[in-house]
Amino acid sequence: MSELSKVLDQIGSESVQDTKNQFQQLLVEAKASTDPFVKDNADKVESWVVMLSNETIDKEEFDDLMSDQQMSAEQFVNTQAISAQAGGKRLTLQLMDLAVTKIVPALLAARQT
Amino acid sequence: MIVHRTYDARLLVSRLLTILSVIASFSACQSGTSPETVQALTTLEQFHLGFIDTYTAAPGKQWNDSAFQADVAKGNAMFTSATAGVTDPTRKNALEILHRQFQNDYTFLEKRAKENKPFFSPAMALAKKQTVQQDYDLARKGEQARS
Repeated sequence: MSELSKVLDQIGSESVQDTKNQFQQLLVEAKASTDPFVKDNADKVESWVVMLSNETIDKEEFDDLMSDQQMSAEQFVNTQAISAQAGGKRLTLQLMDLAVTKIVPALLAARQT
Repeated sequence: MIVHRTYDARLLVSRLLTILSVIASFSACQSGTSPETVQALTTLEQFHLGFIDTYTAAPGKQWNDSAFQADVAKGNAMFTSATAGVTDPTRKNALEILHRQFQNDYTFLEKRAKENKPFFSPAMALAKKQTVQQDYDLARKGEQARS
């Protein structure tokens, strides 16, 4: 079992099961991407969620790293041809958005209970 | 008749030269790698990564707010200078994203200093440097793709 799976298993709430599945599905898809940025982005998001869970970084640091990465994603999209932008956005920005708005709040809430 | 033909030919050549020079100046402004931008990206990257190193926690390191403010002002001036006069929207956007990343970094440090948690932690600095470096690589890649 991967470290991320162990982290996500801490979130027991039924209401976020679909989000967890969607997050993991997006991660799998992004890691299989032929684009190095999309793959690297997925590795980073996964690693930072694990670091936050292990308390290697705190929530403020996590948010700041995600904010940095979001700007890198904007830079990535800025270098892409219009036709490639939609796919890149989905596998980078949507993945990060899910981590920040759904996965991490649920993880922190689960740790407090 | 001969005079008219010579005049027409000169007029045609003159018009063609005008059109070609307009196209050439337009191309120079709108596309092609800008050596100045590539150089600016290298200089900004060195400064930005050095800034993160300077403000990463280490044993015995003390927070110096006036030195920090001076470094922030220096960085902002460098980004403003690099962006000045850039009209190409993609190039301008690339530089502005990097500037926002720098602003994000010093805003974070200011906030943490006020909370008595100054400096980036070593774990965070390592992760941050990878992301910042990647951002400059992408900007350079975008710039080189124009050649």
